Amino acid sequence: MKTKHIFYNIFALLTFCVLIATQACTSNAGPQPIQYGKDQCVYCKMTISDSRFGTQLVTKKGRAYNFDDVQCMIAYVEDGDINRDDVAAFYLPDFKTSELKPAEEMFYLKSEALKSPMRGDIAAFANKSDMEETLTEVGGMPLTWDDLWE
Amino acid sequence: MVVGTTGAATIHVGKQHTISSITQAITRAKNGDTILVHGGLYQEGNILITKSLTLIGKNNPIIDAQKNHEPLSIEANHVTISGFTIKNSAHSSIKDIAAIKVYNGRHITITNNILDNNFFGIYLQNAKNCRIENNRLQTYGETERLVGNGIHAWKSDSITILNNEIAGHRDGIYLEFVTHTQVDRNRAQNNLRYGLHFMFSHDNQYHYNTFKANGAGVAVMYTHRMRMEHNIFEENWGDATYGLLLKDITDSYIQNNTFVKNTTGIFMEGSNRIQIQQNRFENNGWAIKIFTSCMHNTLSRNTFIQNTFDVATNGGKMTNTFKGNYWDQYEGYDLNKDGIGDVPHHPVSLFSMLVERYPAAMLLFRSFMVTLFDRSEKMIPSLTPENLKDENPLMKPDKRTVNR
Repeated sequence: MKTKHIFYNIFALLTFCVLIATQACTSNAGPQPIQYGKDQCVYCKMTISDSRFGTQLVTKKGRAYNFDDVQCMIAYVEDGDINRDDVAAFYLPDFKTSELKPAEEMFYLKSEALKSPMRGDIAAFANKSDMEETLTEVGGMPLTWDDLWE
Repeated sequence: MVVGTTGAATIHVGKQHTISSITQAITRAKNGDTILVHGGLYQEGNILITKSLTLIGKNNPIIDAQKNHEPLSIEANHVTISGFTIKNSAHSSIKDIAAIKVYNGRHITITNNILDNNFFGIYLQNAKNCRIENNRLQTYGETERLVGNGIHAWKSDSITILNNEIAGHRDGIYLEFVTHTQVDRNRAQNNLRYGLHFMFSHDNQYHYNTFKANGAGVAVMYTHRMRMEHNIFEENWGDATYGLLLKDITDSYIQNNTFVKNTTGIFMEGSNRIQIQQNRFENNGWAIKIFTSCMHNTLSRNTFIQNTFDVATNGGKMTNTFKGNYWDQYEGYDLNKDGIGDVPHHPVSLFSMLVERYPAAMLLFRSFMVTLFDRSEKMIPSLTPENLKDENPLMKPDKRTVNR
């Protein structure tokens, strides 16, 4: 009876360890959901409410910082509030689907007609064709991820 | 030479009249005419006004865009819209479609309308000398993405926004690159983000408004020379919610306002030379959070009652002045009976500093250890900013802050 008890305890402990381990692994695996209307932009303190423009950076330690506009995310890093070397990934929403995607793979469009929350006025697109479609509709200038940092 | 006062005509629109559509009436009208629209339902898609006209609704005519159009677009000067119900504008992720949208107009008057279930409500773009008065705006957004602002002005000047009621929009009133504007006696309630939101808008003022239970309170950002007086900020609860959020504001006045039941009454960052006077802070979690990035602000004759924390900050240096406020947490005495406490009051508690750094420490609030810490800190300040103190705290609230 007693050994059975111990066995259960060890089993419980093992399960717990496995859970912790998987948790630690998954934390770097992708963007964490932004709660629109609740979460606050780390940089400008505004409530993040527009899913077409909410962005996120995840640090190598797995902590996510949310922003209401890509302009705020870049300013946050450039002001030195966080070191760019400590950032594991930057995520931006696809303008069409609002799904957060890695920043390097996306196509960018800057246009005053986009009216983003902090007037960065930059939208990200997962597909080049979507970007070009919006470009013909509202005008503006196509950009790359590296352009945003200049 | 005869000056052309040919007499403006009045055109009637309605089922009983020869003209039954508003669009038709506009086509026939000349600058300066009045179009009197009688009660009924008008489903005409987009109604575009390109002349100086007065449109008056009689017996509540309803303009319904059936979710497919912008109901009313104004591309002219000297236009008046009064007495209509306008509903069901289209939504768009690219275009800011509004119940009433003004493109580059001057002297536009929009009064006594009811705007129901639209994307944006009233939208001014490059407008000047406009008046928006006595309108009621209501929409029902579920996700914030599909909700526009109630009254929205962009690159506009000299706008008067008076006595409107706004509910259910993203921001009740949103002003961006707007100058010399007056926002008075409006009521913004249950909007999804801010009740009122200023961005890059200078030399404006707002008085006697009520902002209640909006998603995140009121935000004034990147703005100079503002007057914010006699407003009520109440029941703005939530983690990232502030009665009033100030970010990069300079040379402004915040006077005679009431902050009741907010998570944080005023949150200040990067804001300088603001006079915060004769306000009443009651039953807030934090009355004021003032960050060290704020300089040379003056807080005087304010009343602090029943707040969990009166003042919180994030560091030691402080160039802001606190003088002659009433603090219900003041434990000093007034031996010479001049109404002013004889020992200074330190409104920042050690515990509030700790919570600012480690939010989880809030668990220990009102515990014995915390009380002990706070007491000893009051005797010998170590962590709390030593010069953040009120040298002459009032023994009774300033009468001007008691009740409006």
